[in-house]
Amino acid sequence: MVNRFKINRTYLRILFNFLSIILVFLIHLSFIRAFDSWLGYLNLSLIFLIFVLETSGFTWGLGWILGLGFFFDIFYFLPFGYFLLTFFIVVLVSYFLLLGFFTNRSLYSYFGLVFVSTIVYEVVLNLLIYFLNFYSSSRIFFLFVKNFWERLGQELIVNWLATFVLFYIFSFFNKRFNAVFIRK
Amino acid sequence: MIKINFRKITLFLLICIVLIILHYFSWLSPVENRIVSWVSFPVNKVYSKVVSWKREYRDISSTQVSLDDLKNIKKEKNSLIAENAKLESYRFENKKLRKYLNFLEEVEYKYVMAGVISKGYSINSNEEISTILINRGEKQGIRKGLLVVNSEGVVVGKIEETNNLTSKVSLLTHSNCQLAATIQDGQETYGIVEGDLGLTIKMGFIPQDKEINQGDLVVTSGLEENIPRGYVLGEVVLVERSFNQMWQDAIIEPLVDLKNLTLVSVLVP
Repeated sequence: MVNRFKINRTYLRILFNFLSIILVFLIHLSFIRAFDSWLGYLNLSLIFLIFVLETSGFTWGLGWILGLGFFFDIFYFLPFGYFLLTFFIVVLVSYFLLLGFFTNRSLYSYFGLVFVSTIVYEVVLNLLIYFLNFYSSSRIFFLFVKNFWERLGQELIVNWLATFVLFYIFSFFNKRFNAVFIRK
Repeated sequence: MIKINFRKITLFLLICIVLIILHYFSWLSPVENRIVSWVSFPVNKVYSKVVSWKREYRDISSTQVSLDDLKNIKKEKNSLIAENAKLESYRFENKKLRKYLNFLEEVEYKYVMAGVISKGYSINSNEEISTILINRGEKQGIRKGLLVVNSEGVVVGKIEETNNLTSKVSLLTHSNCQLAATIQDGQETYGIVEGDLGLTIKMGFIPQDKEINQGDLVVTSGLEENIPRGYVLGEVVLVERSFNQMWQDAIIEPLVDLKNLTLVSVLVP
């Protein structure tokens, strides 16, 4: 009886996560991308991925990569697997930092994780795109392009703002989050 | 000591490899097509709603149109109506004459309407995002290289890539979007129009002996396969001429707001 209850609860959790993945993807694809300039740079999928990794663990993080990566790969006209690989590398790096450095669930640990994961995401994705267009003569290596750093800066700022808002929303419903500043 | 679960990582990588193989053998196509068809409609609705909010905000915050501006606009509209009527009669006469001379029938193009579902990813970091995704694809007869226009018939870009149910459109300001064009100045000035850094459009390979003026209209020349003649691209705002060069360039401003597109049409021959 208890086992059956546990199995049902697991299935419910899988269903809830699956629906959440779809919702986050739809909001990212249609709502956020419709905005111009800085607001359109918000990477909602990445932020939610970090939150899931930190609250639910590595396994659920991998599940979210499969879902989000698959949807991104079928909608965007990049070789299939690019987003799966990018998200995977981001989660690996974030998990390593989570276990070794950002060990509490405070706001500044989220800020740190979002900072690093945003940079890793942009560098990995742009690197993959650069190799895709390697033989095109007009492609300057993206790290030497001013526009790339400007956009990255705007993305970091808007991702931090979203992290700040989401942190307080999640901490309202979930007691696993720590206070903003850790007191000794 | 940081513990990494290699079993989970290996299993995950195996699932990814299987997905990639299934995709490239098109065995995942039914699932992908089903997902795209379910998602396209709500995504297009949300995207269009956000764009309409942006337009409303811009209209409210922009300066009021003065009475003089309004009078000028009305005057211009009336002269355009008169010119349009003249052109319509020329078109009818042209069609009749072609029939008499037994010219080959011109290719009839059909318009496939499509909703914009999202913006694409910028392939070139040096460029602003100047691609959009639309919810029509190979199933509706769309293929690479076809012309895309807005609801007023003004050119917005070209089809760059297609899937079964979606397509990627390179807007006029994208460096991948190149069109054979002509300037409507009575001199039959031909050139190639190309996007520049996702911000503007440049027309190059214009012979030095051609006189181009600000305000001249640029239209498609019809010299490209599957792209009909006479579709408006924009108007000339600046001419770049250097006397030791063989060609001159013109900077063209598109007549349509490329950042706020919600509905487009693809010209399918």
